[in-house]
Amino acid sequence: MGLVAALLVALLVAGCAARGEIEVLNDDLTDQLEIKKLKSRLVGGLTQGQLRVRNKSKKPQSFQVKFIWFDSQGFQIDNEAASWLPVMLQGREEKTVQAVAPNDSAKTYKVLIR
Amino acid sequence: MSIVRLAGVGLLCTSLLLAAGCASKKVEYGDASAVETTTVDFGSTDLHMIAAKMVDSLLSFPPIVEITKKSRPVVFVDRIKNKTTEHIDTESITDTISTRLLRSGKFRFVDMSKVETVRKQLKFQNESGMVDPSKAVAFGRQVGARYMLYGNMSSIVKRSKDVKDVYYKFTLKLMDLETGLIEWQDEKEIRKLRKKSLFGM
Repeated sequence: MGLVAALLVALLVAGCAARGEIEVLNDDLTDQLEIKKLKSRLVGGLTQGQLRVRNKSKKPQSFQVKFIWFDSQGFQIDNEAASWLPVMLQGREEKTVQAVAPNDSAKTYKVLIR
Repeated sequence: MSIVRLAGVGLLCTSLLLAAGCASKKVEYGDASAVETTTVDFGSTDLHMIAAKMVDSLLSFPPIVEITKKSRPVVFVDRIKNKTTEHIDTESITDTISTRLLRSGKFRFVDMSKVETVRKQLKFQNESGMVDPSKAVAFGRQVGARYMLYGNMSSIVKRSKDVKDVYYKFTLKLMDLETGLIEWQDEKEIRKLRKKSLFGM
């Protein structure tokens, strides 16, 4: 009984983290990068999103990532604060890129890659 | 006659070149959030990378999560010591970091750079006789900061004939002013390379 309650609580807490999606803006990158996973979790009431990406080729690969966050009504939060950040991957390297939501009103987010 | 014609053609060409030169100067708006790699010197993308790392790290560090669960701690931002050889506006970095922390709803800040201005304003309200005493803001009611945010910025620059390698390290610390303990600390490293191309461009 205690275990079921703990599981329910865990599910409820996990359900509160914002849902994320990925959008690759540069078609060439879809062939060169393997998006392995997009995970979300709550940290002190704020959603933390983590993207795991792998370079499929032997050559180093540079790309840019931007996390944009939306509230429950679909309005972008702090839209001017989101910046493109450069990411560099060596050949076959796998890396995680993560970001924390600007505040606790974030309900969904999008990871843009170009 | 042919000399006159040649001179005319020359004048026309010069005018066209001058006009073209003038027309090439154009002002347009750029994307402030874009990645900027104009030179190897400290730039806006470095500032964004440092701010993003520091804010995300501070907001997700478990002991800080515990502290901000109960209250919104009051923080005072001290300056970032610039130990690089470049002129870097480190206040701009701490401004971006404090803006994001404040907007997260987890922290509050006191601004030590405005103490004199506030003192003057309160003196005016309380001593000039021009402000209704019942509506004047009283002295001695401000909230003191519990934490201090401060840090360092250093760099290592190496040059060879064709390559310039710049390594930046930004360190930020949060000290509990009551206990003197560093409650949080993190670093952001950035490496930038400038290589000469084949044609020396």
